[in-house]
Amino acid sequence: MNCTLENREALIEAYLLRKLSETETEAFEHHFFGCRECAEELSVRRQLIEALKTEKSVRAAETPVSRLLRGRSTYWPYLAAAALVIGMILLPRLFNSQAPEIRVENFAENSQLESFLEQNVKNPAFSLTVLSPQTGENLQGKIVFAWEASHHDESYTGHLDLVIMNNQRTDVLRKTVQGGRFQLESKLIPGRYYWTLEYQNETVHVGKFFVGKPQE
Amino acid sequence: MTKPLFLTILSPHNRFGRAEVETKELELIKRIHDGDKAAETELVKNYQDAVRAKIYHDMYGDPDSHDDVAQEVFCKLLENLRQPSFSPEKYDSLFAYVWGVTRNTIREWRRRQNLEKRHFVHDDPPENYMADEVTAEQALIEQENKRELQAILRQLPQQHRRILEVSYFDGLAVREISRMERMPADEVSAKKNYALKLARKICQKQKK
Repeated sequence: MNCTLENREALIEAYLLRKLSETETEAFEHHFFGCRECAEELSVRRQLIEALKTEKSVRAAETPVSRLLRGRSTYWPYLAAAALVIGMILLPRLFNSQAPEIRVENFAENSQLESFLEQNVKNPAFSLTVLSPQTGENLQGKIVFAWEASHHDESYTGHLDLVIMNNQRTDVLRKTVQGGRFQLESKLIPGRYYWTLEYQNETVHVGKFFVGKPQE
Repeated sequence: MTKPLFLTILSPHNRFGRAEVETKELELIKRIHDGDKAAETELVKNYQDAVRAKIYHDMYGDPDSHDDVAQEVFCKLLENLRQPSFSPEKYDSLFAYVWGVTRNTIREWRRRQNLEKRHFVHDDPPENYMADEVTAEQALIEQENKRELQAILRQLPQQHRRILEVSYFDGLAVREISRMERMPADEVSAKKNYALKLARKICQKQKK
């Protein structure tokens, strides 16, 4: 590789995700219009993202049956044999044990975070209405974080830092969000989660939700 | 505080040195002036990836227009470069000129779209068979790439796909994915790089 641009990988990804500032974008564009290697790498990743997007929408529209039917007919005998073997091995265990992905310890209460929740940390200069998820809500699938916020300070740009933590207080996600809405496309493993909204390193909201909590 | 992503922008000409690139650019422009069709194809092929990357970036919400805008960029470029009055000395470099034409074409396209919304009509861009042919060929190549990439994505283990999705749709960094998936960061990078390696192989095969 001949291009020696510093942070090349990060720049390419940030450019495609439109995370660079206007100045950075222009500077990077001036670079890759003259650098074949960076232009080619951008092209590869752009095409991969587009294929990923199409494939995701195709999968979302498919039913399990149509997914199977799309496969080549020559696979059927192998699929049937594999299903039979797997069924013979796994079925008895399946009926005798709990679903493996649900772990009780992931639902344990974190007393420290729970106490923050009760205090309901608020900045008096900040007005915030949380729309979703509601505290203690049990969620499945895609999770939408939504809120309406305003600040007396004119410099407030609408950016808030969203932090999602598991019950061990480990950050699962930290992201700057603008516009009061963020949809988490990926699935979280079942458990108890806490989430905070931060403005200029100050916590303005602490919430809690569950993912895949079994019925009591 | 995190380190700013952009500290220094290196010259793209670190390999050849400035003077040599300028000479190559001037030669290419001269050949286009002289009506050399191969030079026109070379120009389109040289800048195809960069132009399409900028269009993808600036017109993210309008993917149906990407091919048309790319075609218009190259039509304008070739039309201008063919003019006897075109003087390359006025510009810093050919790539800066191509960047400027791309930016202006995107802006014009958007303005036209807004006018269209207000029931105005616009003239079709001038026909330019060379640009049409090469950009149409590129569009076909990209369609073929997309089909192959989709087939590869279908064969990838679910975890690989998930890493790509959270990386490109949620914009998560390797460290964030590592925490979410409870997997070492090196492993996340390796899975992502594996998919990228396959993608590169497909895209480069079509280029050859």
